[in-house]
Amino acid sequence: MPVLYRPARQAFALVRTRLRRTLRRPGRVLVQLGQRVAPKDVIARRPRTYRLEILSVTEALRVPPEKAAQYVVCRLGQPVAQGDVLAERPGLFKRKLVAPIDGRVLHIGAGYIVLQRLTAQEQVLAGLEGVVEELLTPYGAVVSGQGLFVQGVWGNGRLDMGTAVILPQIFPYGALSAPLLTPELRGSVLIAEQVADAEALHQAREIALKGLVVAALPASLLPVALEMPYPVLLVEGFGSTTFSSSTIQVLEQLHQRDVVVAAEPPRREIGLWPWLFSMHETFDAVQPTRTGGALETETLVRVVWGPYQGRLGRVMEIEEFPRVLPSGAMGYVVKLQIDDQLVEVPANNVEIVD
Amino acid sequence: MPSSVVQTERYLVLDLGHVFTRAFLFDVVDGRYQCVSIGTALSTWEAPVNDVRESVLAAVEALEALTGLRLLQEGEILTPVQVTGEGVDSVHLLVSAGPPMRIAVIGILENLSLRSALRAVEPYPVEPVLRFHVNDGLSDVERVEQLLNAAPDVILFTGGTDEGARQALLGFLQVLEMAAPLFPQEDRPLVLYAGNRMVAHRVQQHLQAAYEVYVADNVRPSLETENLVGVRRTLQEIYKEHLVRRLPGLEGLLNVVRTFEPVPLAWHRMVRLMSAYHHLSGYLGLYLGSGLSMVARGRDALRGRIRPFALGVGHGLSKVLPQVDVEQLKGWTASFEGSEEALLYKAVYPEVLPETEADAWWERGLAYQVGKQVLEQGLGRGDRRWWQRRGLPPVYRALFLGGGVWSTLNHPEALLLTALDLLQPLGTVTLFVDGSHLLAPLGLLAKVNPFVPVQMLRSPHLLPLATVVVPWGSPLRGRNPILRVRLSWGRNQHLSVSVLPGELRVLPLPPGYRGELIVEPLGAYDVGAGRGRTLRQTVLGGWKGVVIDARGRPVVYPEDPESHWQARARWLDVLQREEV
Repeated sequence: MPVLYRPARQAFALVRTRLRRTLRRPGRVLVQLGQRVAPKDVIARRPRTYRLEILSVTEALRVPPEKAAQYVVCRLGQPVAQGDVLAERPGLFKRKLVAPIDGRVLHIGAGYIVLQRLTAQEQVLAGLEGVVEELLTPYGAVVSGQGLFVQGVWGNGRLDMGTAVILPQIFPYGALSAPLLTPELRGSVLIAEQVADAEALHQAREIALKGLVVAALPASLLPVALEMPYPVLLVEGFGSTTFSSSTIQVLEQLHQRDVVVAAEPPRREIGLWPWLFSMHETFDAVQPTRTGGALETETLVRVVWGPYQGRLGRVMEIEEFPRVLPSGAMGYVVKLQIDDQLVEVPANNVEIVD
Repeated sequence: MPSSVVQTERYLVLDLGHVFTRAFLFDVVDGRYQCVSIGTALSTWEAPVNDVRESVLAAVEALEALTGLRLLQEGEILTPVQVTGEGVDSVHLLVSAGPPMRIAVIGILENLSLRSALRAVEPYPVEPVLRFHVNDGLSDVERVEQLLNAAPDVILFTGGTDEGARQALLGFLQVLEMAAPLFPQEDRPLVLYAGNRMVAHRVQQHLQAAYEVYVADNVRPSLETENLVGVRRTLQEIYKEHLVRRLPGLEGLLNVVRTFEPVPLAWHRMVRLMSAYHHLSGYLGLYLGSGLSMVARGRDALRGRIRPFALGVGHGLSKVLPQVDVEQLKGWTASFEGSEEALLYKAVYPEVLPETEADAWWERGLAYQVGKQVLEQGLGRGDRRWWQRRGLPPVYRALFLGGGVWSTLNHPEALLLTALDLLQPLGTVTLFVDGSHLLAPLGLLAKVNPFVPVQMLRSPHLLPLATVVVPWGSPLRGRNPILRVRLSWGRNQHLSVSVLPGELRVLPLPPGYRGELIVEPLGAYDVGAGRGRTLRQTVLGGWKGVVIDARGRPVVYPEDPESHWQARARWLDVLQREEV
């Protein structure tokens, strides 16, 4: 039987989750091994852009370059405010070099001080309450935590926390509309099957919602979701897709629990998808999450493309060799039991459901 | 008669793609090299496995199962061939997976060293993120800032002829020295110097404390000479290192590999070889993969270029998503809806395969749009100008299509129609489709043992899809025939047809047969021999024989999705009918 690895989709009421929280390029890791972290703690950071100010110590103090270093009073990496003294030559004809901007000392040498203006930082947050389990210097760390964990498909790039609220009108079936978003929901994370229109998304911003978790959004609403200051997490996908039964079972336990919505864009290469997490410490041995695995018979999968998109099925057979599909494409085929039907689906088009 | 085989080794070529990893086994069968079988596995460079060796192992295991030949021993590839006949003599590796290499290019003059430097990096999957030259109007501080913000993996530093400019080079040297301590230690690019040879030692001395420095031959040793050989050789090594850092498991795999090459170079080598073999001067190649696409073009086997892009119809889709015309895409499927959501799913799950015929049409529609974008970026300035002026692509005699999108060979008519609409060829063109993904492996083996690709040139895998005749140069109007076509092959087999404006006709020519084609224009049309002149050409039979496309150029489909789909279905129906 061929070994076919597929990513895993996860919805657990209690699990030990391990998340790789890393920058895409090297930066500074700000946590230590074993450190307890809160969801909004910064794990690693790097400047989003560099703006430099190159200052000549030689010219400002009127000293030769080889002597400049002895008059420098700032340290490498030190944050400085506008007007702070960076270098000073004492004596009768005292001279000073002051910082013309707020920034950080990036380099000292050859008669120059280079200041880096403080600009926006690219940073990666912990995303859950847990412990730093492994350092991945200089990119970030692996953070692990125990609790309820639901993995999504798409996020609008925001992260926030709040108390989960489930309104029976919109969960597990129903669309969130603006009139349902009353001021009492301020600060909460709402879970709904669908969103009726853009007005509902705008109204959620008005009442300062802390997060919105839905099964799916139509493509036309994604640009609006991207503009919202609160996290929008799509658990199942796009269009009119509904929650799967297994996800409903997990989500319905969330009412009035504190949750983190990390609606980050997916990073397939490291197996990171947007998620929803609610901490629950326990001394019991808890099963860990995984980013995927090999397909086997009896594996529960979800079809992500084609005529059976969104349906859950169980693998009954994995064909030995790839073959030509009705589309003409060549691929490995798995036979799935979907309800009482046995169907053939390319292995590429399924993900494992944990 | 089988030709003699000088070197009779058994080769295993591994191709690490974004979606699939393939293992090709080449061996001598009946006195000539053949591709014995192809093992396929789902690629494992991404999560959950994050190790390319897993998919290589799975692909080789599949190959073992298909051939019954033992190729692995205790999880390692068995080399060389054992006395029992098991194993392979050597392993060769192609890579198209992984992110492109970010490169900053420095040259003194924009039209000399900078241009040569950009040409040097052209065949590699690189993303030029920055260009500096003396007339770019930037101060040193601005250059340092831009370098830090661009975060390149490599800085290609060129400029000056071997006896020429030094001062400007030293100015850039100062910029690199200033930038060195400012880069985060772990994110410092390496420097490849390929400028004025007289300054090479000084550049190395100044920069080696801060950067990893490579020195290659000057790309412009004199004003009249361009030398890209040395810098490309070094770039290939650097690219390999770049991949080792980004594709876990690759380092271990390289230990058993004799030759390594990025897919674009190997694919282009084989395209050149095939156009030379078939005497088709002037070729265009379009490769559309999941995360890598490329355009190859050239006048002949010696003068050609290839430009890869980190775009595609899967892993590279997110980069072109904003430019996809969703309304037009709806016209490629019979359902005319849901394209926006389908695009989003495809961007999130780039590895999915079209399952039904309807899925395949949607994917071809996507390939059509992504292909147009890749062509726009990949064609040269002259070709682009031609296209803009006439609304038509330049004239080529051979067209090559490659990449996962084109591997649906059991629907040759659908492929042909998509290719005709996308490439809109003119004159007489032979169209090849690399449906078995063999061009890149053969291109790589051309370096190792040229007998392999040469002996496979007549393999059924490398036959053309069709020879296409497209009259152009004058508007195709009226009710009278515009072409008289005669095709003869075999023993007294021949076919004569008159073609009306707006028609699409298919003349059968069995695969592998050579036919004599005579196309007489009945007006001032050009069919590849010049305006109004009769074309006489020997053509090679392919899966769809000879196709006469008199629909006019450019081919325009209705904007309304339903009418668009109907028009396409009508042409498809015509392509399925052959003249008798």
